[in-house]
Amino acid sequence: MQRDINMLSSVRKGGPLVRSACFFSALLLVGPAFGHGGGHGEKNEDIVAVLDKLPAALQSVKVELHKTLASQLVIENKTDKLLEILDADGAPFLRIGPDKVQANLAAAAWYRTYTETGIPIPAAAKEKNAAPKWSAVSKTPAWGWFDLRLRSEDIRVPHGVADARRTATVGQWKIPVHFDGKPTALTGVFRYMPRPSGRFEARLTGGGEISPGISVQILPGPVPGFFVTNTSRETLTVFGRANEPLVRIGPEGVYANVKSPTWQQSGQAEVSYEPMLADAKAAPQWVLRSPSPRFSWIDVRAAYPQREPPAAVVKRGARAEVQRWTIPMQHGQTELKVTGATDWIPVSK
Amino acid sequence: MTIKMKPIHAAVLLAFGALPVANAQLGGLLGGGTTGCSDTTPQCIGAFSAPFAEPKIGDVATSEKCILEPATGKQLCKPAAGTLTHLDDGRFLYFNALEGTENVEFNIVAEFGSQSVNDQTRVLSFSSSGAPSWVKPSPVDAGASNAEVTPLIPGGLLVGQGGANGALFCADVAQLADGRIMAVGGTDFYSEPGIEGLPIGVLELEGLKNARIFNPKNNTWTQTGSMNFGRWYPTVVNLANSDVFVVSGVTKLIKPVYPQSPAQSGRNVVQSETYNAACGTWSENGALAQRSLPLFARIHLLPNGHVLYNAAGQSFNPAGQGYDQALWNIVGAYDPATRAWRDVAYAGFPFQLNSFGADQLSHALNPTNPNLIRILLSTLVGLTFTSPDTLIATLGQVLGLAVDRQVVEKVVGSGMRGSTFSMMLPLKPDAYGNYTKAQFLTAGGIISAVVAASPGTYIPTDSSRIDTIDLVGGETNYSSRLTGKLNQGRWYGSGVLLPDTSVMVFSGANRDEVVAPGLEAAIVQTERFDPVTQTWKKMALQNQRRTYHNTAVLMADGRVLVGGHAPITTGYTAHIDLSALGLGPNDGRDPSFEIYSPPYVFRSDRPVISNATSTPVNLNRGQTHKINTSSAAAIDGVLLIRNTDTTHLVDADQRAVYVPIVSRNSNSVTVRIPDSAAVLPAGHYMLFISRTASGGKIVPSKSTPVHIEADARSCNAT
Repeated sequence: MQRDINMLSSVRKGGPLVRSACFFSALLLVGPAFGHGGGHGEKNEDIVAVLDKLPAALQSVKVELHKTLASQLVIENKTDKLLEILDADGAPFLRIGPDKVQANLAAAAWYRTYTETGIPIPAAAKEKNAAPKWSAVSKTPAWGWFDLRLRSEDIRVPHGVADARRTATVGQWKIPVHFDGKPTALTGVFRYMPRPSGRFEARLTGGGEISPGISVQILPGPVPGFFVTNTSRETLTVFGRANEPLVRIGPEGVYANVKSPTWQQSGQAEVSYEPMLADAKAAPQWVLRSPSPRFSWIDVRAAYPQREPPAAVVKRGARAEVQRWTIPMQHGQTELKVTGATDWIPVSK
Repeated sequence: MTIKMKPIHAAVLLAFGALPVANAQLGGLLGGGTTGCSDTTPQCIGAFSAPFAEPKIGDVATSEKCILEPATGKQLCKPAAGTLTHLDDGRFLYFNALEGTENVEFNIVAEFGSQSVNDQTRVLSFSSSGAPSWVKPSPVDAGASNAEVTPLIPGGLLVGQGGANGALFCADVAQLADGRIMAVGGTDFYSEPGIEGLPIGVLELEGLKNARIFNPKNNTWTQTGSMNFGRWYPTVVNLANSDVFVVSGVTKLIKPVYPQSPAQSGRNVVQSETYNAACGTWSENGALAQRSLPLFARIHLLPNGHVLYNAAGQSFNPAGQGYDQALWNIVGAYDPATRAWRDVAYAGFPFQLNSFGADQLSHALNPTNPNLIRILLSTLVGLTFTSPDTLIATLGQVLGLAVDRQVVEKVVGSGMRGSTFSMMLPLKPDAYGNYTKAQFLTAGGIISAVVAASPGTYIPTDSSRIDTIDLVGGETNYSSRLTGKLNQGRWYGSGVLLPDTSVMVFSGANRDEVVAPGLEAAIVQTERFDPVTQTWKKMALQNQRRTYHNTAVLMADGRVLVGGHAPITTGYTAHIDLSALGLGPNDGRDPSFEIYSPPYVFRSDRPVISNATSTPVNLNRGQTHKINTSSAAAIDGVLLIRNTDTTHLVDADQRAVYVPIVSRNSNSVTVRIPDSAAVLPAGHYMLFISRTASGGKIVPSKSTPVHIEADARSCNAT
């Protein structure tokens, strides 16, 4: 399930289009991208606004916070109570619910938050204490906006945190609201989540020809994989992380132990709406996977388990071995093993 | 760099089961492969027609790509051929890509969920004098809509629909056995999170379950059975029994998270499905038929009826990749009979080291003194290396160097390759009349395996390789070898197999446009692969810049129709002209076409099929067929080339089959149509005859259309 959590994390940071847009911006702007927090007005892509648990008063309202073009709050209020969003001066500029959304067209905050960059503000809306001018802007009780209080431009990342490149909370945000006339607030924190300083690459250290007729290759990827060929006359059994039987590869094809937790994370397990419950200690349940004596799978044992290597490795800035691993196997009565290492390679190398 | 020379141990050579060939082979590549034609006349490099486009937008005659519609303030535009198919009647069906991008004001990510428009379709035909004309099919957008989106938060209302919800964009297309065209998948554009009715939010592209069929007889689109999975960027291929097999695609491109099926999250659709052509329905193929593949996976029907995945495709989801993308490096084969995939090889290995390989390795390993290394490596030419490890170990021993694995894998072009074509070279019968070998040419694109990042290297490769599948004794044996390199690295080049068996590459760019749209420069220099010399040569310059979503298909007379171009907006913002910086103008889609005439078009001695027809002749497998020609005595090749249906560099049904000449007289040759439906699946083909001229050049005729009949089936019988 760890991979799903990672995926959700990446979703919060935006998909490929968003990332590419950021890449493009970086090419054109060529600013100090990360490390110690951007100066005033610069985006800091390493700082992400995160939503706290909602206060009890708002439990009936659906609130989401997404990092898209910028941090975007999206609220759906299907209750029969009015939710008002207050601007930095404490004046309401949005009314969400009960059955529609109204905007205060006399509030500058409405124009500033409509899009990531805002839209032109009429002169009348720039005046403080202007009389509210409420206008319906949506027939459904949901709205999304780019609140300026979620911006990370002015957040400073402590040098110690930035130098260590560790994830840390570096600030807080608060957006006051009125729900059913009572004051409460949406709150959250700013998390410093530095982009990877390099990438990891797995390699074999003991060679790929581990026995006559048996060869192993590393498959490069975010989670590395193995490609094993066994053209010998005897079956090769590969063991998983808990030393449980994982796959059997041989003259009769490839059989997988579908009870193996390692198998469930192999990228080759059957996708089903009723997933097999993995249990490393259970008796193997062998299922035919391929009629040929070759098989590939991804294996987290060859992946580095953290996002970053130790700080000292990053500081050195050179390719470095950060992990050693072993994949146990059995060929007939002979125990075999595949040995390898995972290297960290800095971005610039 | 000082080279320490070490003697090659005999054991090293014997370990690979072959002896090195003579050094003379190495020298042969240095001469180039020009076959005596080195000038820039059309006879040598071919020529392009002037570009042409549909003359009207609605009822307004205009030479502009778009006009402003006063009532809405929006741009109305001519469609570009992001997808292009060669119909059974000689006309061309095409449809648009990314329709509506002209109306993006600020940012495509924020606005395209609401600004997108279902893509328009067109039919292009040419009169006998060559004049183009256009017809709008009905419905013009093929008439599909996604019934419901797959929300990230089930039950949530935070989705802003409002753009195109049944776009053909990102569907794959296949010519069915009867000549109809089936489009599978497509795009539902919406914003998530977003607000219904408001142009605000973040773009999502959800793959459609729809399949729709275009009937050339009445120019209409109709819906057929829907798939079980929404697929964006899937690949479809005709099986030997004329059913259609679909793989991959992604259900949600931007946020592929499916709370109802966590194991499906973060990756492409692993389930394959088969379309029963007799029943018009799709069904899942089961557990062994599941396989993680890249988007628009490059697949082919092998002459044994299996489907080959040739370790190439598109890779930019989710967040640039799939967590299981390491598996995309493996060449695989699917057996429809057992409904099971099997792994075949790590793409690029076993690697046959030929003179091209020795030359390219020598330059990569020591560009300052490649001659010395080349001499050393020449002793290895002829050997086959089963894995990168064996190649690296041998190179290390021979050269006395620590050999960088990435350098070697980059030269070999091993692993999965993105944004390239995979061209099946003509199938030829062996001495016993059996088709037991298939070869695939891959050139350019993005090598992603060596960087473990995606979409891969930003700069495209110039590497070109041929992968061979030998089908002997029920085995599927793979090997790979290098050819001469492209004259420049090329991202997203469209390959076209010509009836002289050469391969042309058109269009594309010098950078991966998906990584940073607008920062690429279009490549207008075409190139031709000579199958005899195995080298690439520069050919004529095309007129138009065509980068993302370009297309090219072979025409019946042997010319090539080149079209398409629907770039992503500059930096995913609006279309911004950066040409002043030496970059592409990124000025939106190009609805124009141009026609490339290869050198043989300018020859006066092309053979002529005197009994050519304007409508297809129906042929059954196993029958003989007589072709009348006054040059019968000189005809040494009869080639059937399947009508092309291409999008995103993919035509999984792309196929050329040499059929054996069984008899001849002074004015005709008679061929026998192969028995095997896996060799020659039912459908429409162009039949070319050819002769070999002096210098070894193949001179093809214009074609005559033939239709290979499908075996009779009923829905109940399947």
